[in-house]
Amino acid sequence: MGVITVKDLRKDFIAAKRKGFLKREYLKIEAVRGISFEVEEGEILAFIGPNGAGKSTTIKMLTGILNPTSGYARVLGLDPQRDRKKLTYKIGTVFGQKSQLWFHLPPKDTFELLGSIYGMEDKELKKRVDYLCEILEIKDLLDIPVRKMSLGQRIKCEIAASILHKPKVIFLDEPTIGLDVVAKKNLRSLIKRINQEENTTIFLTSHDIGDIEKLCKRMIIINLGQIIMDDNMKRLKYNYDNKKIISLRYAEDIDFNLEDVKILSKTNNAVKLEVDMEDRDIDDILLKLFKLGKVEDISISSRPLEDIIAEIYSIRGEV
Amino acid sequence: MKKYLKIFKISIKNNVTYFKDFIIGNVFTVIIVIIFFFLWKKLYAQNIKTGFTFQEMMWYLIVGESFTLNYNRIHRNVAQDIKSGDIAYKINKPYNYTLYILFDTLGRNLLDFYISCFISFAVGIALVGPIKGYKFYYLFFSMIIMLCGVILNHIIHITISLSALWVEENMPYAWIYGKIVFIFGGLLYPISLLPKWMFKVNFYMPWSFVVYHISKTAVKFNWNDFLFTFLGQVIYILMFLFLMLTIYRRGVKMLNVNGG
Repeated sequence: MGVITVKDLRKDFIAAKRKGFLKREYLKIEAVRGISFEVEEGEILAFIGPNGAGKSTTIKMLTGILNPTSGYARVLGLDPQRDRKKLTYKIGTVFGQKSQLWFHLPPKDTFELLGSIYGMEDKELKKRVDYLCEILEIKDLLDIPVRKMSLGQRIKCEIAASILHKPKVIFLDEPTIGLDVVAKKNLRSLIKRINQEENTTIFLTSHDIGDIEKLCKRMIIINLGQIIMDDNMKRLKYNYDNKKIISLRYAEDIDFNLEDVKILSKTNNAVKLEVDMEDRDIDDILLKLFKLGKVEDISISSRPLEDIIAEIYSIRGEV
Repeated sequence: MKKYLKIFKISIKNNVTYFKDFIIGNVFTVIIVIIFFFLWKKLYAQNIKTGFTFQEMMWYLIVGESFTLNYNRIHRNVAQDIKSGDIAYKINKPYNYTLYILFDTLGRNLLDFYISCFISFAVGIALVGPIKGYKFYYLFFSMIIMLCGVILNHIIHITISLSALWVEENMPYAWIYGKIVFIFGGLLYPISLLPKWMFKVNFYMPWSFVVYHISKTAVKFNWNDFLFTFLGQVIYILMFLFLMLTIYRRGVKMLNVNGG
């Protein structure tokens, strides 16, 4: 049995719509429509989907914040709603756009408070803070008021606050939102390290494909409240990566005229193409491209994962 | 309990940043006391009967003003937590959210309470002088019921603020309660000035244990009034604590977290 088990989980919201001055019409919004999945211990799972797909609602049901309309959910064998208090000792959450740090105080104070809230002994807390300072590289930030920190520094401290009590499962809801490239890269390696060193299960939602590519082996795609794909990354790429991007630069201007390829961009002597490998052979295409003129430079790459996911959203979104 | 005391402590620390705001906020209290001074001076010149001497009346109003703190923050914060979705962080911890809010706002308001008392009492001494025959230990016991009044008022405010779990906007309810305290709780005048039947009804209501009984006991101290006020406050604190926790338990099931 996995650390997270979800069976036919549903969440409906009732929204009031004004109809005239006093009349109101009530609409049922199906945010999550009967999803089922399992997450194994130590796994890093990407739980992705477009805006309004039901990602955050699912996280909030799994962390006991929202009551599901129906269905079954267990996290570490506990019912998130019934055993919410018990569960809070075993899980950690990071909501990228929210903060749990006290704004005017240094993070050290929040850590001390959280230590008391989670019933940690002073010695145990100190040891844990020292460990997190080392892996998250936040030792120099401990005494700086949160309001004076950069976003990247703050997120690191948010993560430390969320895993202070050694949770077995961490829910990361868009942890890298708003971070610059370097901060994102650092944060990803830190998440990986926490996962490896403590065998922590990580449930990640993100709109940043880089997060998913660098961190996760498995991906669940949700759209309109339903799971449209649950697969590992390798298989996903294998199944959907049937298009290649070929960029060429010729020695002189060419008159480009080739059938069955999609031109993505073109100048006088350079062209970028997308080739569907399902009905074409790469050597056949290359042969034709070389015949067009003297090639000075060539590169062949896979489609970015971002494009593959966008395609999955659009093809399978209307289930 | 240890964790709630820690919340209380960290809240005080966090809000020392707003020290200047507290001082500025109290300028308004000083202005109100001065307005009351001239208003009641005029009324007393017409031989109005209130059951209080002019000096006692001024001290009654000063005591009431000194611990009627900025409670707007409570319902604003609860509503904001729900609207912004920040509540997601606050309710997934091993504590009770309403007790978290209680100790957090008590921590925020404690400093305000002391500053307010100090400034108001200084203004009172400057305007009308100390009450003759007033003993120092009266002040000590008065401070106990003042603190209980602050706690009771906080709990009532949080209970009302929880309406945000259903309707998001809790401002109208908090506003109505504020006006009830002002008119029927004895903040504007002692409720003994109300028509007899109205006085009798309000005498036992929770809002009169938030201002009237406290201010009256502090000014005209006697043990009977003190015990009546203290016991009334304890009963209402327990009642509203129960109500607050029950409403929260029900409301949290209705919660519709925004922001994701």
